[in-house]
Amino acid sequence: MDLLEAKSVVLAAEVMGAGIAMLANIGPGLGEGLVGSKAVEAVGRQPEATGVITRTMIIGDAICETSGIYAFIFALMVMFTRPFSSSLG
Amino acid sequence: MKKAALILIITAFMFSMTAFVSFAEEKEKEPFGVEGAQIIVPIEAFGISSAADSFVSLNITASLTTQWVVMLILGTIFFLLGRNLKVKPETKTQAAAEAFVGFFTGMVNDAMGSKYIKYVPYIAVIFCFSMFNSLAGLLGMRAPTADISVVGTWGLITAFLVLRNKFKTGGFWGPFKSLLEPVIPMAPINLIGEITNPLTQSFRHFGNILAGTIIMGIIYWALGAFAMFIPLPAVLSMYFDIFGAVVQAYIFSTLTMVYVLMADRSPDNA
Repeated sequence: MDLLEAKSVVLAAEVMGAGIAMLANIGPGLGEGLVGSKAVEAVGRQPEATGVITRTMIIGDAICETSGIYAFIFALMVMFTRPFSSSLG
Repeated sequence: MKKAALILIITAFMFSMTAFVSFAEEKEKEPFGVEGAQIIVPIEAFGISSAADSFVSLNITASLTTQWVVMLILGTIFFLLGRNLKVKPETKTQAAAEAFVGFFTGMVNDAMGSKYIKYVPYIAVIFCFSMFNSLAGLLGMRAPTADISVVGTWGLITAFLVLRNKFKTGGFWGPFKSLLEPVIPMAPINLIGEITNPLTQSFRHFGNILAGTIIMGIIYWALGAFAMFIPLPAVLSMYFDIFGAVVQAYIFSTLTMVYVLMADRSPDNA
């Protein structure tokens, strides 16, 4: 295999890897949906506690989001710095 | 009837302008890319290179200068709010200042209790500083919070506050004892937890703001000159820039309070 072909294979694998890394956002999406649904139920049951519930919900959302953000940063690093294909020269 | 005619004329004008722009915009678009903060004054000293990709650098970057601008704005606002305070509030300025202080006092009091009331200034400053830094992205500057060097520093500050609180409430051996809880073999896992706490906190803030910046950048890039006539970026900016900035500032300060409170090792809190 000549070098150009090898480089293009590595580049394609890299970009695909970035895309696959973003699949990790399925989890946070489901988690935030659960958080939101429970918060809506709680507000329906106790409308007077809406402020506290909303605050807690936003914090819960943020903590759910962390793994998605990791995947996003990883995908960005792979997409825009190209660590493997740039090391081939 | 007049209103309908006006709307019709405005719409026709917008469409004609769009068509005009689409003819004018003939040159090829550059591909979308993400860059780090722009280097304004490269500094090369103590054997540290000024290259953009070096791990340690002393350069004065755009995120640093934007922070200086934010510091100036916040300092001016706080100075003007804190002038001429009276026991009985007379001016609207003092009412605003009291509402501001009251908001953060209530926030710290709710989350940490009256024992930690000394944390109010730090929490208020980190909230306002983070929010204004993220909102600077609205003015066309690169938000400093989309730079891991900035937010990572704040995460380190939180880590030091946690360590300080462990020393303060648990004595000299407090931090070491907390590593051995609940059983001694848990020590490596606890150590990893100590390191990842500031890391997750700063990466969450950084990632959220950077994601908003990149999504808005892609939309502006894709729309090109049409962005002047289609209100899509304005609507999306409400979520990605304004809502994201406020929520991330709130979460960062809340998590700081939670981490500091969790580090309390005094017997009445255990």
